[in-house]
Amino acid sequence: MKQHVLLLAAVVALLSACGPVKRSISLKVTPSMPPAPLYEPFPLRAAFSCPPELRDHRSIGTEQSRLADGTLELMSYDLDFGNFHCRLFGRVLRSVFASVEATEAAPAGDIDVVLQPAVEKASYGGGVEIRYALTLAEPGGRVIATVRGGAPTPAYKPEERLFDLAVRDAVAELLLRLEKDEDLAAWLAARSITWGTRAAS
Amino acid sequence: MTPLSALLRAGACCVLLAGCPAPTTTEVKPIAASAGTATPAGTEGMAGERVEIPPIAGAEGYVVYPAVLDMVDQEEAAACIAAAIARDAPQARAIDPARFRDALYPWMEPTTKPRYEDQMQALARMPQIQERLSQLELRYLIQVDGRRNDGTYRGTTACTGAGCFSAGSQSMASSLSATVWDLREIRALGGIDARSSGTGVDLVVGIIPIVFIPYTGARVCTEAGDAIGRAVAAGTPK
Repeated sequence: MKQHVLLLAAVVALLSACGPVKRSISLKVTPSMPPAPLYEPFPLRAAFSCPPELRDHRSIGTEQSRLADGTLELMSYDLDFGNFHCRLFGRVLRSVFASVEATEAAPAGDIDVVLQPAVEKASYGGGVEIRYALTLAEPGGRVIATVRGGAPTPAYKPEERLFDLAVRDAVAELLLRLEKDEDLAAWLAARSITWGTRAAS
Repeated sequence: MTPLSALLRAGACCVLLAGCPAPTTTEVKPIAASAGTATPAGTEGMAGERVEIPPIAGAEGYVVYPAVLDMVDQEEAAACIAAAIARDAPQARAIDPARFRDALYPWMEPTTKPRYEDQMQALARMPQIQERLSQLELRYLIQVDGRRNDGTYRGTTACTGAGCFSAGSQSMASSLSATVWDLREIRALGGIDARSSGTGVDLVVGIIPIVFIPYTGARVCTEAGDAIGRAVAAGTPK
């Protein structure tokens, strides 16, 4: 009986050695702001209200990844972005629309579109992944278009810049997708609003 | 064979091998320019092929930019080409790649930069891009793609009473391609594609390691850097 217990303990010990390495990390994240976009602004008056969930944004979760040496890693992360995303969108969107009115309440006055940014993913483990979405809606609430941007920034990139690079790339992709978005183009065309020189897709 | 004689034989083998460089082969090929290019000024590659890169007016500004961003291998390859140009044509005007990337944000980021020739042409035709390039006083983009591939390691270890002997080999390959863009004329001028491969060998006798590494990365850097450097020097008055 004693031998069986020892054998079982040995098997459990061996199996636990084969499982993923568990790590946890808690970070206060303040990435660098990307440069002001070189972008032909849409000739639209926009209202931007940062959603409450982004004013003190925290992303908590787990991410499984395989390390360079083949080890499986299970990373539990707790990322505290504070109000970074609000500052980010507040700044970036000013280069993207003719005028942007920051508003806490329902937009007032002559507004063409209401801008609603969202963080769809912000994770850490085997690199950093940040994914943004931006919804453009009419003041009455009808959605014109939703564009997304973001991609994994792998861990082999410079570690101290992983969040900077992830944010920078996610915003860049979001802006280019906005520039090419067919729904927005159709909405503009229906209102005889001419805009832009498009890059090839 | 006694352990001592085995060790001596292995040691002699190491001494003999140390006299030989690790074998490498390097191949250099031209990259065709867009239709209607100017008369090419050739440079001689390792394999004796003509490498068609026309003179580059370096005084009008150039930037050496990695094809894949934020990766060590790629940034090293770009730095290598930049160093070769600075050496061969110090009078040419280099633009810092980070400044170029920031100035053109969001168009030259990992997920947004042009991947194909028509995309690059469409981007370069955009008025705001042309205006920004003019502000930067930048005419040429030299896009560099450097890669290294370390193959499988094969080795063996044997121990005798006199100590241990271990031997192994690993194939290594490097490639570096550089494409020159004239952003004012909006066309690719041509480029170079250099590849090098070799086999690294390591021997350990007792506790003495002897390692031979084929410098494939350095070889492709030298070949591509020389070709681009000469083209910039040819087009840049001293």
